[in-house]
Amino acid sequence: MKFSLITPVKPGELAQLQGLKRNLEAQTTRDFEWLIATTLPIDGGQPEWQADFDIHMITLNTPTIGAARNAAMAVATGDWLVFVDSDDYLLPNALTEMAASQALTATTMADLNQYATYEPHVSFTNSLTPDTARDSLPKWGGKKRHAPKNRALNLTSELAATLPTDLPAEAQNWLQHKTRLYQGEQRWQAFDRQLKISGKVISRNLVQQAKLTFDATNALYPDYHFLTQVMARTSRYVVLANPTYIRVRHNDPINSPAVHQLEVPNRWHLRVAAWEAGLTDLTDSDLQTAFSTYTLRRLHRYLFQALATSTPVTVEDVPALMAQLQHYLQGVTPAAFNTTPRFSRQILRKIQRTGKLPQTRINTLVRLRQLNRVVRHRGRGITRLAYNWWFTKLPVKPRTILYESFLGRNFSDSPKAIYNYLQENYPGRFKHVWVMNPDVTETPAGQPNTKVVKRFGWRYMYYLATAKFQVINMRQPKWFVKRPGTRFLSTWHGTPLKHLVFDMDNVASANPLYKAIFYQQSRQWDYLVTANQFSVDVFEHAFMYPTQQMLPSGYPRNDILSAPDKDDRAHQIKVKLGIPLDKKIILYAPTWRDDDYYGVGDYKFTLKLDVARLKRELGDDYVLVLRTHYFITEHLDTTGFGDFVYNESSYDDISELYLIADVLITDYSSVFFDYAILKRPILYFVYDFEKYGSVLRGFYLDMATDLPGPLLKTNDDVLAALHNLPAVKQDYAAAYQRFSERFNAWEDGHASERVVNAFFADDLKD
Amino acid sequence: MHLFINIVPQTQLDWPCLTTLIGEITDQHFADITLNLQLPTDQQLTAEQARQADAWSLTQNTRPQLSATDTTLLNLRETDHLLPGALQQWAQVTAQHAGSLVSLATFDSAEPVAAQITNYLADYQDSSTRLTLQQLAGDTPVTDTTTLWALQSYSVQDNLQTQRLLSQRLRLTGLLLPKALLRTDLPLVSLAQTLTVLQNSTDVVRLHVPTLARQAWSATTPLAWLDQLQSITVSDLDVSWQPVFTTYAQNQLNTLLDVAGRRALSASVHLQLLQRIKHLTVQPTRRWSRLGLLQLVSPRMAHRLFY
Repeated sequence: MKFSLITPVKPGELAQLQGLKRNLEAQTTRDFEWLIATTLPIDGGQPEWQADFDIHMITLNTPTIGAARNAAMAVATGDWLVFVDSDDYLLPNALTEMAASQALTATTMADLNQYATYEPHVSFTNSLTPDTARDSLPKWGGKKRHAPKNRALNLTSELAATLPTDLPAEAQNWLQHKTRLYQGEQRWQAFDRQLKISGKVISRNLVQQAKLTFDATNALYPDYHFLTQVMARTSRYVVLANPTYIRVRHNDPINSPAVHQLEVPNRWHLRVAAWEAGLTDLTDSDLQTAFSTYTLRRLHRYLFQALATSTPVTVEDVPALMAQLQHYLQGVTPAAFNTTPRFSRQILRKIQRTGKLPQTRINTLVRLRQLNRVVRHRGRGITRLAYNWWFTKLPVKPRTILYESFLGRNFSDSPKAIYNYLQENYPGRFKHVWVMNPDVTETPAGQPNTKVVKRFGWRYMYYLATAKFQVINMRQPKWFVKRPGTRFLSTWHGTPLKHLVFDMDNVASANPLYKAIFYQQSRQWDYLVTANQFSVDVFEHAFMYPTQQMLPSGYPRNDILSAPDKDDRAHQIKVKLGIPLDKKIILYAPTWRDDDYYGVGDYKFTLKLDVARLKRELGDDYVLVLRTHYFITEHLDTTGFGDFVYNESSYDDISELYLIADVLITDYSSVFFDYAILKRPILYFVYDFEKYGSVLRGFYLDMATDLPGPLLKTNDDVLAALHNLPAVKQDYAAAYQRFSERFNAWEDGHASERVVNAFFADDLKD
Repeated sequence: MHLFINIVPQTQLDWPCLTTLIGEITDQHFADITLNLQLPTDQQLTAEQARQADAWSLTQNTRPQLSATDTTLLNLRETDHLLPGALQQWAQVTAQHAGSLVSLATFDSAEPVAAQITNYLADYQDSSTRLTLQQLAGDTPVTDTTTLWALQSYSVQDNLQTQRLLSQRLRLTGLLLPKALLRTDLPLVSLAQTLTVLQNSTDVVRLHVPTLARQAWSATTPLAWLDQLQSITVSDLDVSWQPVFTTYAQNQLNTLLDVAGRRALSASVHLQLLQRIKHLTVQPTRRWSRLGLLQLVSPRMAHRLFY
């Protein structure tokens, strides 16, 4: 028994190949060799390529995956070929478990059981702690409904010793190393899984005798012919019951796309050619039918959407594709057509007969699918459908501005500052439309030339499609269509503190295709407002956004903090909030922690700041204004603190709270960038600084050295600092100066003016 | 895993049942185990029983505590039954998930277990795992125990507050509780203890194929179960758990009314139960539930309607 692991490597994959080597070193067996086939000039004699298992470098001339696998198979010496991609990895017991399962026979196609994730190997390994369960897997990255829920429990050797002695040895072994076996009538079940080469274990003898090879000429789909031929020659398919092969899906299709994520205009041509090759040599009628059914399902699921006129053109030379498809469909098992839905079947039959594109039918099918989705969701999405079908066909409305702040959650931030500036300086010039969620109380409704529309409602869709200007501080919907003649201003919502988009290593907790979606959305922005040179530099790599489209203006929302009448405004805000005018104000704005909810042994929703002590020691001179995450706010009990605590977590505009605060206490929240404009003291209450080490590594700032105030780990420290603020100011005067120069040099109270002049330039003239 | 099994008698200790249970445990030849009998203070073992208990290494503590070597607690009734291989399977799961509460699937100890196994296996006639075993066994008949072992699997669940699953997770017997999450100031057998463990958990492991036969406390000792439900002060719970536990408690009260009405209790005890539930000032979650109806009528009338 010896496994030959085969890994094709493309240029740019060297780092991940070294990661895979470290991973293979953790295998619990050494009964394997590793064959790396690449066009890269890797010197296998270097120490970094030495290991206590054999590593062979195979240099290629033809840079295709198929050629690489063929070259590796030609020099393999193991009994079993195992196909491992360089970006994937194995659990330590993978090969041992496969060997122990005793499933490998000459007529078996085996599978290490693939588990898909978007979590990179390093991120997953770093997330493991001594307390982590031993069978931990990275976050599931496949379709939700396919997520493996159950883990098989194998019998211990002690229990196996108690099994009835007449039970065949094969069955006894199986109970200790469970697998799923597909043979006989079940042979072609899980067909999709069988057609994936990664993690497959195949007899080298079988491959050699039948002279099976991968298609070296098909750059994208080299596997179909090889796999169908292996399937035709094996009577059983065996999958390990628990996953051992981790397939890492690429979360950054922009910078490092997987083969299936490459934008290749002749992708469909190559796919159909590979199918044709896969089907041609099959003699087993059941396998023919299974393969035909599989391919027709793929056509039904993906082809029509790609060919609809409403979709941006991604398929080149459609007539050639139709001719190719006609030929393929003529070879497909007729019974397979009956497995596709009727309308789809009619389209495929039409292509089979004529070799021409039935465009009208395809468009109808795609529209019916969209409608069907709305019906299935009981009308949800109908407004979006109207947006796509009708509103985007209406003429663009000049001098109409659509504003959205924090996804309609409040009337705030830079969109509000820009709106106020335009209302004050260009009254009646524009029609303003504000997007607000229904439960928001403070809205600009009733102000001149202003409409308030409900997010995702009919009017929202209408104005989203027709307004000439969009001013938004987060992201527009994924399905937003940027129409010619419209202009989009992204104000963003803060100086970046935590790593953003393309600087993030692991996006598995968000949408796994977050990077690709963000990239596509940010290409629709005409301008991006930036607060400082630091933001410009970060956005350039984090958003991959061109610097020439960034407005070096400062944040409009911060104009209020430099306004000449800011003291009067502060006075008014204090009166509005009912805060005694003779009291100084501490603003406490901690960040939201993921483990607040389920932290082991923690009392949730309890502020770590000792408010009772603060009241006791400072209550005569100060009040405390709380600004916490809305989820905590709803459960925060501030009774007993009387008029010392003002919970303003749901107050619309945090800038106004900055204005009234004499000192800010925060932690890992980016609020301090803005507050520092006021040059007032900032204290960092970081009681869990050590625990947050791994999070802090994902920050752009060095929290230990770059801050304009002290890091305080206990309530004693906080109280001491509050009792002696002048000393704190003095100690941090130089750091504060450096910080202000770095982050707030552009904040002079005229950012709104600069943004308006740049963005609305042509429409400001009479 | 070093397992501390704490046996809590229903009301009056059933010695033959205890003997059977101890036999089922010792038959599994699992070494890392400590046995304790939590005998009520008003009961005592006879001299012969005490001698037998010593022979079984069964300690008797009314307020037991885990020792330094114990890692996991399992509370059982003496009427419960362990299926073959149970301890080995639990040890395997707790080895993978040392810090997790393990919720065990169970059969009903009030019904013949063999018949339940037959029905259970019939439900999995076509499962791919079972088919694989049958193919490998060929013509050799496979015992029910072997098939149960073949089907055994577990899942890691982080939806701690899902109402539908709370009755699996909040019960007094038939859960593997990790010592690290236990509170020493609470009795080992108490809803407060189990609720604390669940609240402080990040996940729950569910062992899917039954390894145990037991009965719910609501069926065997409804008044004791009502005591337990009443022992929780909802306002003392973490805010996120308050509505979850309130709904759970109301569901349990409905279950109590339903189960107790099947004449498992004497008429006087049933009436007593109704009176106590009636006095609980809880709003029914569903108007057309037994609990809802009890709010509208007198306990005596409810007794006539339900019993």
